[in-house]
Amino acid sequence: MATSHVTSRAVVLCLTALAGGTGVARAETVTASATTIVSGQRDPRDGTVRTVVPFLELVSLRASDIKSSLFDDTQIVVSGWGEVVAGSPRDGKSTLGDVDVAYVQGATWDRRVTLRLGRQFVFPGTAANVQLDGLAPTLRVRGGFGLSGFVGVPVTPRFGYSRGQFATGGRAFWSHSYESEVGVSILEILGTGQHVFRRDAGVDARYRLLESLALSGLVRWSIPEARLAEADGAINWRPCRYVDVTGDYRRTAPDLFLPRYSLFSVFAQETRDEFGGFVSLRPWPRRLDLQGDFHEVHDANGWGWNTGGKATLRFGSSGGTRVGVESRRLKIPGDGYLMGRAFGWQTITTKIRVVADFDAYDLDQPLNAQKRSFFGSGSLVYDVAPAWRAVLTGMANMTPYATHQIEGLLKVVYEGGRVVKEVTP
Amino acid sequence: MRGRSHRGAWVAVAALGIAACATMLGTRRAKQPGEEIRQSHAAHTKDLPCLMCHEEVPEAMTVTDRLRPPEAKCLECHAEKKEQKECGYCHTDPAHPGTYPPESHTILISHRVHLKLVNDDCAACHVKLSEYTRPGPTPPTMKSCTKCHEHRVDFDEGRCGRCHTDLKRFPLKPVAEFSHAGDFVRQHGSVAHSSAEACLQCHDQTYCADCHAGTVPTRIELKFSENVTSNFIHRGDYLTRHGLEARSDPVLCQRCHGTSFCTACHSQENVGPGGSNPRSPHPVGWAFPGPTSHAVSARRDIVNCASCHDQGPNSNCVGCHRVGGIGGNPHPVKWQQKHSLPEAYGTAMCRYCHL
Repeated sequence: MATSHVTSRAVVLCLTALAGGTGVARAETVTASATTIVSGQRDPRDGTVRTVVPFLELVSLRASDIKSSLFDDTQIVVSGWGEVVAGSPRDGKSTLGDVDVAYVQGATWDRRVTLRLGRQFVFPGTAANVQLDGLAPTLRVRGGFGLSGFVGVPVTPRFGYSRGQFATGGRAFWSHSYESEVGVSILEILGTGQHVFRRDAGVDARYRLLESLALSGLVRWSIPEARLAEADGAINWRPCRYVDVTGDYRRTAPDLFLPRYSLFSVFAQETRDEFGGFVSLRPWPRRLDLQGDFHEVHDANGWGWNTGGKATLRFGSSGGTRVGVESRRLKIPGDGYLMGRAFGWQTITTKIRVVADFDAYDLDQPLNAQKRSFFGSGSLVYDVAPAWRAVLTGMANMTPYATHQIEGLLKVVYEGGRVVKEVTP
Repeated sequence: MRGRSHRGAWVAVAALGIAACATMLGTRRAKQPGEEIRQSHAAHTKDLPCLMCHEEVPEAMTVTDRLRPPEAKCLECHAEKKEQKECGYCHTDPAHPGTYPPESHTILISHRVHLKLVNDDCAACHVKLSEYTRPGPTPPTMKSCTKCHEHRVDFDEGRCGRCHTDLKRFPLKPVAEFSHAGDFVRQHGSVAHSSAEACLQCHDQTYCADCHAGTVPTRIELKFSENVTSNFIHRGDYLTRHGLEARSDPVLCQRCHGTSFCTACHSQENVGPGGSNPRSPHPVGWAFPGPTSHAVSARRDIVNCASCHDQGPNSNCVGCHRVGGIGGNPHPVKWQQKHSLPEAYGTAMCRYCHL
């Protein structure tokens, strides 16, 4: 995918959405957010320490409640960013920018048909989070049955390979309630020269069997390979509001997550299995949270496991003080790590709080002749005014990659969550 | 790929920024409902029917500010207060008397239809009304809506949009019922596969983009550096553990990044062949059969190889593993049962080796 195509699409999407939004702005609810981040860091790179100072601006606009004769509840959502890097940027580029989301959505026919046009995500079924520039319609017929589909061009991630030149797919679903839905879906993504990037069929479900028991799962079948690309299932049990228990199993085919025209798909292992569980307890509601998980992993390397625990305690008026500890142990054949972490949050006044975070790693195998790593950060958060927040963060670390590294970050956030312009039919 | 210069996208982002600034600058702090006019529903409804003041309600098809009584309606009884300049009788700020501040109307409801259903008994839905001591909007509770069969079904089927135009600014009952507690960070993908529209009732896609967009400029751990309680994936010293995490679950990385993400960084660090002064991280004997041979490692963890050697047709696998090369057949067992030789000759990628 040529870069010019990507940026042209981004410009067209963004400006079209903005133009549309401007034209109807007097009859809608508009919210906006803007986040400015300025950071400075010493960046050790191939034996040399460089200084990098990025200025990053993230902005988003959302206009909703737009009425027209054709569509109800029309929304325009745009989100993008721009960055200027002073100092010595990693790739030599001092200006970057992109559009994350830019779509127009509307519903018609008694809200049975929804159309979404522009840069968007497609989550349902085997599409599972495809970011594309295109059209995604949904039709809801009676009895909870419906059809959805999409067609468009996948977005190439930054630093990433092309995710294909053309994507299309569809899903038929039955929605029993907002907690229970079953669907069958199909997906095709074509790469350069019409090579099949992905061609999958899938079944997905989330079903609440009992008030306290829910099942969810997804099975994705690779049609060209005639084998399972991914299967996961989970059972969630909530015997009371203070206890959550989850058991899950997941099988993936790592080679099928590489492009089918990549040379590396020839060599990659074909299966990976993981199963385990998670427990969350709230023995002292709104004060003490306890979490623990354990997962056994099996692949061509052999057996490994991943386990961890986390405890968070809130005390003081309105939970103004929070402290937590966390630990994790990852063990893979021949290697692994043990992590320990402590974090805290203290409210000073209604507008000011301080936050601290520290973690340490003990590696099974040395990395650059080092087996330990330490990372700490502290933040001062100031709610300057309604909708405005400033955050000053300092970070320091001693890792196998740098004997010491210090980074500072200043963030100013505007979250315009209030209605600016009212709907007045 | 990081070298991609987005001049065009910059124009778009600049336009977006200007629009955002314009929105912010155009925003004045709105007074909240109840801040301008003081009145007591309890005192008024003792002797008067609701519709005596709220005259527009019986014919209203939508909810608008016009459903509240205009000043003229108040003056039908309280004209003497205005004549006596006792503005503070009704206005909370007598020096600057104003009308009701605008409210956010995000409920789709026809009063004309509903009043007939409840025989003009407004209290059937409006169970709580604003007072001096409790200013602000007092919309009907969800229970008063769902006690009717039709809306119970809407609620169960997650068709929130039939009544709500915008749920994104409110604490919602489904948040508690749908349970974002427990292992939700790990499980939310599975939920989104089959209930994405339910998610979008409260979260628009910019929320998803923070983590999932391949276009984002920075890690979410930096964007929300003060949020230490969330279970972010790349928190802390992720650089040290990234190799281990990638070996433990390569698919988890590939869902977002792809192998060229690895190659770009490793080349800059000169640990890949694409670097300006590449250094080999491999042990002695790596290229040949034996205990430290690359063959077993490549089969187990090809993504690790690809993190440096993903140069398309120039990838160094081809040199030895092409047909007739010294590396032998690299395909997994049963490969030939699924792929024919004519297919190889017709596929560009296969032709690198199958000349």
